Amino acid sequence: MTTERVEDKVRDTLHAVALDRVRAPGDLVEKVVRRRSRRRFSQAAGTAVAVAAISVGAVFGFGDGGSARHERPVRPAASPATPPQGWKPWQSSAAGAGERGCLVDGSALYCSGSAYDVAKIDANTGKRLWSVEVNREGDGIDHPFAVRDGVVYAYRNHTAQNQSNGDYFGGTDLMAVKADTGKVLWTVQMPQDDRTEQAAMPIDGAVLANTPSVRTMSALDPLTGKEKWRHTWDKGIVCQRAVLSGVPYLLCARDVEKPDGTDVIRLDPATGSATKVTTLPGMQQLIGTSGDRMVLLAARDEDRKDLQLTTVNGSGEHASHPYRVKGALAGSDVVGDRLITVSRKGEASAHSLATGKALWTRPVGVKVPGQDTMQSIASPVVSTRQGVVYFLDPTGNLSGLDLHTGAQVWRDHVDTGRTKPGFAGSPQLLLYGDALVARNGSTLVSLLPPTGN
Amino acid sequence: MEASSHDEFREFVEMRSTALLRLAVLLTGGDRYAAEDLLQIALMKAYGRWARIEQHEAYVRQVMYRQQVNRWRLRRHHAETTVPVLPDAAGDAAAGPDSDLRIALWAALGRLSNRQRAVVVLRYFEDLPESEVAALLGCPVGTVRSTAHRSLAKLRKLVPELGPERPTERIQSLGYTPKEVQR
Repeated sequence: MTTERVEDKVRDTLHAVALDRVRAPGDLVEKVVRRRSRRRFSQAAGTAVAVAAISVGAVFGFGDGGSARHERPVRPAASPATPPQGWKPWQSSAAGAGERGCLVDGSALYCSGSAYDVAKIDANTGKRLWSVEVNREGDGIDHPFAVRDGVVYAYRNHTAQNQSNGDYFGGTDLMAVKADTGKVLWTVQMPQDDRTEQAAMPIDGAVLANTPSVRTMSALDPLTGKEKWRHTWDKGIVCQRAVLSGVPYLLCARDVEKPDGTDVIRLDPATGSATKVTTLPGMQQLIGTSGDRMVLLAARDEDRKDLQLTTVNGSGEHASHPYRVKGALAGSDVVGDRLITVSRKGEASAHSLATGKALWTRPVGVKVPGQDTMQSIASPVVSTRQGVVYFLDPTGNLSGLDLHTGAQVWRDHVDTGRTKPGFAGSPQLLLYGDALVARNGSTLVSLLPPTGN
Repeated sequence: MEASSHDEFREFVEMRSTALLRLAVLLTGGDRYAAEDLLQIALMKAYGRWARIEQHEAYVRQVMYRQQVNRWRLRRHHAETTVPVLPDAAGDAAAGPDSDLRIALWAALGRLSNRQRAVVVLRYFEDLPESEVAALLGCPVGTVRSTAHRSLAKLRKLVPELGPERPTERIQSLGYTPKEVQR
């Protein structure tokens, strides 16, 4: 390979590093200021004196200057499971705050429940910090979907008023809330009650929302909600939406049973100008994103057992592999670089997105609800640092499988209580550093799985 | 520091710290802890002279780059860092013909020295010319050129799929073209 080609490969690699999940800690300013004052003190008083003072301060608990708390990031020791700074195991059963689901960002949980459209909860202690009350009702299965630059994005009912015929139909607003105070910054009405992950999503410099019509995506100013640009597609077309590294993409196909192909269209996040990057055969179903790729499934036969697993990047480069579904599935999720599926029989499988090959199939270690129930297991979460994929069932059973082999490395049970009638949705599992947050209904339990010890 | 400067500093950190941390992650070869440490050090230095700095982000970036090079100078025996688990690996999920190469390259970038990686990030991520890299790092252009050359040579060694360097290119990279290869 010529030097020029090697340089290009290095350039591609650096730009392809998935940095989306890298986020600065929320208390960085405090850490910097404390670390600096300790260093200045140490410089002025001499190292020995400073060390003595810090030790005494630690014993007697003198303010931050004498605290033994380390502002410098501490690398975990050999044991992979390390509690987040300031975290202790906790359980919270604040009714109304979490039934609809939660999102972890920094050291906070942002949840939606029957009484609050957004409630900020300290992820270290489980204490509620502030909340935004529902607009008459909060009975969906939506929850805050993004936090960026100090703003939380969530949904609420558009109106509290009954219609003229006396019925109540709340409608849906997209809502931006200040993350530090809970003040509502703006709301924008959505044309339908779609509150799924494709209804609105953060992109570079804006929030892309499916408004004002069902065939339009609009880029809204993140601080004011004002429209910056909009892209509308033709009647008879359906478009799925995804975001790769801040750039929005549409996957559009004719709204018929067997469309010829699915167009992958890139929208310029600054202007909204559309560029078709490729067309893939048939109807491609977007099932997630992984790094710089969208992950798609397409049926190859009538009974939808023989599938085609395709990954496509923002330039339209794609790779497809055959993928066969065995038995009835309780769930499938793109988790990191793997497709993790769980069968109704209780077996978890991991497929490589790069090769399409099955990497392992092992007992999932939790109870998978039957096909005739509304509930299912939580979407699995992966700790890449620990190399473990975690599962949670509606009865509170937890299981951790080795990401590389599928062997069970941990199991536990948490008491998440009985779900309130009307909120019999699936439980939710979240990762906060190495700690887990298991949610069922409004009950939240945070624990540290001792994997790797 | 005056209250207004402190507020300005806080606002800057809130707005730019994630982007700067991402750069630090690249500079440290994916080491999240070293990256936060590097960013904290740069912000500490900036905090002390905040009111006197005109271009805050440029200043913090420069401190990060120089600090990374200084770490290499101070701790040469730790020049090669190994990362037990590569976080958010480069296109580790990316299927396609180049995905294996990208994964191998990202792992190899983690094994460059801090100085080599700083030069590689400046040249190929920030796309800065050699003269600007030299100005940022406070070293001669020739040092940047030779460091970049050695970095690529090391990457070739660590990632055999890149193949060996061609003899002609190797000679040209030294800065002159001897008669036997002149055309």
